[in-house]
This record gives sequence, C-alpha cells and structure tokens, in this order.
Amino acid sequence: MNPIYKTFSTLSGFYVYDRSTNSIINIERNEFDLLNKNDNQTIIQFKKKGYMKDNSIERIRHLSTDYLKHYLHNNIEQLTIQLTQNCNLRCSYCPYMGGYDNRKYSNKIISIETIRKGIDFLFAHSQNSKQIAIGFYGGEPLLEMPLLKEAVEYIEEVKEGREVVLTLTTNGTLLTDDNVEFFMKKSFQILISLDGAKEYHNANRVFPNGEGSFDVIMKKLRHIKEKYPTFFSKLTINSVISTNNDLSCSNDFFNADEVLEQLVVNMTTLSEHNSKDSILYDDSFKIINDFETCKAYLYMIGKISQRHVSKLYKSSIGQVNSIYKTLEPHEIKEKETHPGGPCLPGVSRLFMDVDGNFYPCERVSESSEIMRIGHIDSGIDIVKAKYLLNVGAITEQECINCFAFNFCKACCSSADGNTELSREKKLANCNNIKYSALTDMKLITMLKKFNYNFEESAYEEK
Amino acid sequence: MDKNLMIYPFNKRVSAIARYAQLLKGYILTAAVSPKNYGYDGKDVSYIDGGEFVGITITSSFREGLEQCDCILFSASTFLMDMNYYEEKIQEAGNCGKEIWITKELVKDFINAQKSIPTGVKVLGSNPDQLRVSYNDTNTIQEINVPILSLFQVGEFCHGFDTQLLMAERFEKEGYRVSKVSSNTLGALFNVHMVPDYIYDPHMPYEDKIVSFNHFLNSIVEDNQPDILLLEVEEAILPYNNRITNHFGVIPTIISKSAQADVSILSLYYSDYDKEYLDRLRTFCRYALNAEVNYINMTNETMFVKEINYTDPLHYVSVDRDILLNSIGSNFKDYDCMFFHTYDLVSVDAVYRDILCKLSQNEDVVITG
Repeated sequence: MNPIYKTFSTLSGFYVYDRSTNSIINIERNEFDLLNKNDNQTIIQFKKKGYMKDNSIERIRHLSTDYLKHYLHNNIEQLTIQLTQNCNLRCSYCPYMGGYDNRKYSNKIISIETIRKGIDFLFAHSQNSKQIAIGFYGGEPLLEMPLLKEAVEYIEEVKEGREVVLTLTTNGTLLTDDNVEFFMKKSFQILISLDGAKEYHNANRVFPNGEGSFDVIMKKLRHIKEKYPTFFSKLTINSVISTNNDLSCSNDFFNADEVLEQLVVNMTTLSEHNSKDSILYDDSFKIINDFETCKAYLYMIGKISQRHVSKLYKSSIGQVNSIYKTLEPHEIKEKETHPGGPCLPGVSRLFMDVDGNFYPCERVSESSEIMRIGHIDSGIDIVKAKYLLNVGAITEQECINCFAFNFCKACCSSADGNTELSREKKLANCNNIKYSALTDMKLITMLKKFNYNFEESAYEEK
Repeated sequence: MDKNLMIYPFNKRVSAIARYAQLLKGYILTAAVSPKNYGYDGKDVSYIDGGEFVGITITSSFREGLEQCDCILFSASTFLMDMNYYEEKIQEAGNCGKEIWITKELVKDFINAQKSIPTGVKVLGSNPDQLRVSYNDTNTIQEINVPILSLFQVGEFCHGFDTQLLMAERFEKEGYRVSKVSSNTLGALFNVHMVPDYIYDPHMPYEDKIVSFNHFLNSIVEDNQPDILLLEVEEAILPYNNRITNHFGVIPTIISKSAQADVSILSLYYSDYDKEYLDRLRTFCRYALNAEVNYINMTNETMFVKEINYTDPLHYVSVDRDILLNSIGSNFKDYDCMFFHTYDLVSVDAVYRDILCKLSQNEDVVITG
C-alpha cells in the first residue's frame, strides 16, 4: 500500500490531506496519531470510504507535453518586449545590479525591425488566444519613448481590428505629460515601481549618483493625479519589500498617503532564484506580515471591516480563492503526470530581449543558456521548451511521492542551472513549497470552519 | 446561377466552407481572406484546420477578394475583435454593392459589444418564419417516417457539422435522397434546413418548441420525401462543470425530444478517455437524449478550461492528425463503439457502411434506394 497523504492539525481539529482524491478530511485525534504512524488498518478504513488510493503515478511527464507544439503555434497569449537594457536608476536589488546570476546593465537597445518581427510573431501564433497582450519592459522602457511609439504605431497598423492589451512597467521617473497623454490615448495599463515611504524607497531605488528617486516619482504622481485623474486611477503600484525595508512603515505609507489612496498596490518580496546571496527577512518582517495577513483573513470571515485591511494585503483574498480552487476534488489516476507548478514556457508570458532571444518570461535569468528557448528568427525551440516544461522530471521520485504534488509552484526558474536544469537547486526549494502547501491547507480549513463562502467570493471577485 | 462567395476573416470557425467547397449549393468560394497578421496569407486552408491539403489558398487582400465576389460572409473571429473594425469592413463591402451575410456567432459579438447589427446585413442560417405550434392534447408529437441519423457534440470545434456533410455526401453518392437539418450557421450554404429561430426564444415554452420542431421536421420529410434525415445539433449536450454550463444542454434535449434518433454519432474533443468515462457519456445520451451512440467522432481539437475569472475560460488547442489517428487506432480499438475522425476518410467510409448496414437491417426502419 502506498497512498500519499499528509496529516496536520489546527486549533479547531485534526485533518488529513489525501493526494489521491485531492481532499482534506476532518479526522479524529486517534486517527491522526495512527496515520502519523502509517497504521495499515487505519489506511484500510479510509480506503473503504474511497480515499487513500494507492499512488498511481509512475512517471513525471506534463500532460501538455504532446500539445506544447500546438500551444506555441496558436495559443501564445502575451509578448513582453525588452526595449532597452539600460536604466536611469540603479536599484540595489535589481537582478541586473550584480546580486543575481543575470546580465548587467548595458546600453543595448532593441531595433525596430526586431520589434516588428516580434509583434508579427505574436499575431501569427495566437489564433486560439481570445485576448493577447504586448508589454514593454527594460531596463527602463521610457528611455526609449520614440521606439515605444513606433512599436505601438506598428501594432495599430497590423492588428486589423484585433483587441490588444498594451502594458508598461516603469520606474515612474520619466513620466511626462506627453507620455501620459500617449498612454491614455492608447489605453495602456501601467505598473509603476514605488517601494514605500521616502526613507525606505530611497534606501534602494536610487539614481546612479546615489540620490533617491522618491521625490521625483511622487511629484509626478501628484501632477498626474491632478491633471489626468482618470488615467491616474487606473495606475497600479508595485512595491518591493526588500530586506532593509520596514514593512510596517511601508504599510502605513500606502494606507495613509493621500496621493496614492485610490490605487491598487501589489506587494512583492525579493526572489531567491538565481540570487548570489541568501535573502533573509528579519523577524519584524515576519511578525508584521503575519499580522496583516491575519487581518485580511479576519475580514474574510466577517470579524473586522475592510477598512482595517492593509492595501498591501488585499490581494491575499484573491490568493486564498485561488488556493481553494486547487482543492477541487479530482482523482489522480494517471500514470504519467506532473506537479502543478510550471506554466507552458513561451505561451503565457513570452519574453523577447533586445537581441531577439526568447525566454519563458521576463523573470528568468537572461544570462542562462537553458532559459533561452529560441530566437525571433528561428522560432521557439520545442525540445528545449518541453524540457523546461517537464522540470519535475529531474526530481521524479521525490515528486511522485510528495504530498504537495498538486500545490507545487516550482517552475524552471527555480531549477536554473545555467546549462541545464539543476536537481540540487530544485530540491533546495522543496521544503519551502511543502511548508507553503501545508500552510495553505491549514488556512483553507480554518476559513471553512468559520463558514467563509469560497464559491460566492469567487464570483464577487469576477 | 451560383454566387461568388468571399469569406472574411477566414479562420477555423468557417474552414468547413473551404474544406467542403465542392458541396456548396448555390455558391462558389472565390476568396478566403484573412488579415495579414493572422499569418495565413499564402497558406492552404489545411494550415488552419490540420486536415488534408485542400488546394484553396488563403489571401490577405480584402479589396481583391471583394472584386471577385458577389456576396461576402463575415465570420466571428476566434479572438476578441474591435467591432468598429467589422463595421468599417461591412461598410466597405456595402459601398461596393455586395450582398452581405454575417454568421450567428458574429451577431452575438455585436450584441455583447452593445452594437446594432449594421443595416442591410443578413444573418446566415437565420430561420425566423417557421410555424410555431402550441402544445396541447391535439398538437403532439408526430411520427417521422424516415430513419434519423442524429449528430451531437460536446462543444464547439467538434466537427459535428463536418460529419453531417460527409455522411450526406456518401448517402447521396449512392443515390439516397438526404435531408439535412442543422443549427450550424454555415448550413445555409450547403442546402441544409436551418433549425428555426424559435428554438432559442426564451419566451417560448419548451413543450411548444418540442412540438413545433417535430412538426417542422415532418414538414421537411413530407415536402422532400428523403430516404434519410440527418439532424445535426451544434450546441453542447451537457455542462462542463457548475460554472461552465453550456446552457445545460437544453437545445440538444429539446431537439432529441422532437425526434428520436435511429442512429447517433457523438463528436468529442481529443483526449485519452477511459472506458468508464465513455460508457457514462453514452449512458447519458441514451437517457437524456434518447439516443444510442453507436459512433464516436474524435476531433483534432482539445479543450482546456482555465480559471473562471478569465474573460473566456475555454481554450482550444489543435493536435497533430498523426497523434489523433494513432490514439484512435491504439487506445480505442477494443471499445464497443466505432471511432473515426473526419480527416481520415477511410474511417468515415467505414462508419458510413456500418450505418447503412444497421439501418438496412432494422425492420422498423426502411431505407430505400
């Protein structure tokens, strides 16, 4: 008998997660103890009820492997274009500053020919995609505004009625009235990086001369809010909470600042992937993070009002609903399948650098040979894409026997070994993934205990 | 005299028009035109649908296509379009004096964009003027005295309509008189009787729809005296899940109550189905649709459901013919139901022969030739 399950307990009771049916089952204390000892009789009792079927998985192979060629032929959804590798800031945690295994800043700029080819490529390979998006990225894309305008002009020339979402990620320091009016006219979705209160933003997001960029950005945002209020209301802020950032101060800043009060703020932390040093957040970060997350959950179960929920943590609600969907009951019967993590390389967020090289997304290392999945002139290397898609194959036995199979978020980026996927790097992340999966299960059970309605919330979210 | 027909934008929603161009009635396909950005310019139709080479090349010049045609059919796209663009193109075609048709799917796109259908445009496959019959003790189901081959499917792009055309072609080649009924908008180009619009009327009671449609079928049989009736239903037979309901398969259910099938074909997406699932599907058809599924057409499209908060949760991916045919040949060869695929004409012929044999052996069903 080899069913895969995981017991856990919360303040409200004892549970077991059964991987074979993707179910969380409420159990008694004695069952909890017996299952922890892998007691056969107890397992048999669960089998009789239809749970804890023997592990059917024999091989790790993504179900979409045979279709990947067709996805890449007709189902590409987004192209992110790197306009330049230059930036007018030198943010300390930037992947291109030397702290990560990645390229460095350079003066390289993409050619309009490469942009046009990229746009043609997206259009020609997205017939089955209801909606497509083209994103402009850098470095700092606003350094090449004329090029960006040329690119948009080309999109309008060739799209022939097709709806295209245009997006831009910017540090915000180069926004001018001209730029804003252009973005308004073309209905761009803009993401601006702003890390929090002045002291903490300026600790990391600086000009090459070391001066902080906070005042420049806030002045521009105030001006945009006054002159272009509708455009302003649609901006999104991305806040990176680095290890030297005071989460409490950033939290207070975003919740209280008059200029930013109506804007959505996404909070991100530093990525460990390809980092040369360990990323370690101190205890105060964890305490505040847990506290604010808890408030979001209390709001979800109706114990506090929404105004007490930090702006930085409102996205927790959506994340919980996504986690819940992972728990839709289904039976794993396949002998060949793959853990939940990877996206289809090149389909959801194809990234093209200044030289026309393709990557699965803009977050992977551009200096990694294995992450380069093709080139605009030769197309996507399907063999490589399939290899990256099947990242679980390098830790096959571990994945086959892992309770967190359905919850796994590991993608190829977590196993980037530069010339091939690295088993060691991937395994190094496994404990975090399992911890995260267990935390998610505990959260779901607690919310269920307090009668949180996941189904209704999913529709409200829509 | 046949009309020269242009299709725009040409895509897999309408590829059957080109693939079965030899079966068009009253039309000659003169231009299959797609915008340049589709990447189809200069390619054969088979590039889109993955079937055998057709010999019809897709072009990208709207203007040139207009010059060659008498009438133009505007099709919905497979992705979100700016409806202003359609209006401009329709205007351009109208200014050139062309007869303009739009598909039923495109009508829905106009409605969803809260735009009126441009004036002077006709909806292909619309059938608004059929007699409605109120269900009562005297107006009930009439016996339909010809064998009925019903074709059902689980969703879009399952090639149910293609299957109907192929089967009809085979029956007609052997001298049988065939009447075809379909809810596919393209049917109007192939001498297919279109399902009346009242089927979709939210204010008409189900009982009235069932009886009315039954009388509609009977009138076709009386007027045309066919040897066989091929009844194809485009709409999906059942929900995918609690959120993607496919209108709960209401249309197929109504139609199945109007006329019991003697033989049924079910079209499915490509997948690695297990026997248990197929048995359950066939059981569903047996009791919900009163249809014994004897034949399964597996299309080369597979369908994935993405998260519900995407704008459209259904995503389609095509697979190679070779993968499909290998799968049919190996995974399903022992299943007690014939599998076939519309791009494998040998398998289509085999199913046709079997259907003919089955109908010929059934004493209650008389098929004369």
